[in-house]
Parts: sequence; structure tokens; C-alpha cells
Amino acid sequence: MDKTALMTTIKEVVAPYTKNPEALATLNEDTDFIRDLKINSANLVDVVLDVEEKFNIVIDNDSMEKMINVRSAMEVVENKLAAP
Amino acid sequence: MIGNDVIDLELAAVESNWRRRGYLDKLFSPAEQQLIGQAADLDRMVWLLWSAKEAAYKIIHRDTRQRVYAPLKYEVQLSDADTGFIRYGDREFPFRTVVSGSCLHTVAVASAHRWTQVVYQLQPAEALQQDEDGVPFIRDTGSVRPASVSHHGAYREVVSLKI
Repeated sequence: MDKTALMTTIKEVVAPYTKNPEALATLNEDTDFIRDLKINSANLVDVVLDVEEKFNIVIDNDSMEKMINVRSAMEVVENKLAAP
Repeated sequence: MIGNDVIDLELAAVESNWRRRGYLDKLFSPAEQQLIGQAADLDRMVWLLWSAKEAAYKIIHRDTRQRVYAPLKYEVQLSDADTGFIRYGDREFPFRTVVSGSCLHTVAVASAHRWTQVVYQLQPAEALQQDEDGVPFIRDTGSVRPASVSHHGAYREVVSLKI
């Protein structure tokens, strides 16, 4: 999966939890889930669960720790898809 | 040091479906899930435990300046219905929760002797500021006091320490 497609899918996943539509519209690798998108921390786990379902992967706790922005979420997915 | 977390229970009820598959396993240990299972009010217990973890995270973040989403590293133990402590590694933070209507507010401190230093609400002359990591503090006639801010839905709570 190329980076653009990956980012598009992550954007779809975070959209329902986002409270800042402007930041969602300009989403990029540096976009922070909490500071920029204003996602509630209790909804961050929904993002993780939705990413697991969307890509059919299991995100362990060590990987979840890092999933606070688009870049790290993309890295986690890429790593999981590369190592079945 | 100090951390707080407020949850609007009415908003949480529509915003978060903690009953979805896998949700509790990513946030709560088996012992914590047992507390939830045994609670008279399941929602209240879920959000009490979650707010305690968040409050403790704010203490840790102030220390380490590292932003990490690792809720399972915070283990909540109850002393009674609304107080207890949060264990993080070899540290232990006491907390107190107050529920008023749909506002659930938890305050955690680095150690029990801090309770007498806690100031609830921002006082009239106080100005809340943030450092470069977004960590809040109050500048008070020359001294800098650690503070914690939380808002969710209809509620916003500020606590600080008067050392």
C-alpha cells in the first residue's frame, strides 16, 4: 500500500472522532491526533481499534504507545503489514 | 506534583462505546475490568478508572515531557468508592474523585502530603499559562505553581498546588 492510500485510510478512520474539521482538511504526517484534531483521549483507543479492523492487524501495547500522530500511525501499520 | 481529569458523563455516554469489542482490554488490566464488572454503575466505574489514569499521566508527563499513550502502565486500585491510588512503575499516586451531576472530576497528587496544598479552581488574580510542552502553571507574585487543566463537554476544571 502506498503512502497516499495509507494516509487517506487513516484520515477516514480518525474523521468521526475529530473535533477540529479544519485540521482534518489539512491532515498531513505531522498532524497530532490530540493537539491538532482534538480527539478525546478516550476515543484514541477507538482509532487504534478501527485501524486494527481496517488493516486486519493486531496493534500491541508497545505500538499503541506511539500512536499519537499520523506519522507514527502510518509507521505502525506499515511495520505490521510488513511483518505478518 | 498534580494532575486532574474531568469527564462529562453525559457526553461520554454518546461519544464513547466502551462496550465495543477490544476496548476495555486496551485500557484496563484484568483487575480493573473486574472492578468494572462488579460495579453497581458500570459507566461511572469505567470513567472513574479512566480519569484516574489520565490524572496520573499528567503528573508523569510534567516530569518526563514524553507524550505516550500507554494506559495499561497505569494501574488503578480503589481504597473506597471514590479514592485510591494509581501505580505507575514503582511510583504511587493517590487520587480523589468527586461526581456532581454528570461531572466526574479526579485529582491525583504525587504524594499524600500534597493534598493540603491543592487549590481547586482558578483564583481571581491568577493567570493560567503554559510552557513550551503545553504543561500548565500559574505565575503567582514571583513564584511559579504547577497546575493542571482539564475540559470535557460542559465542564472545565483547574487545580494547582500552593507549595
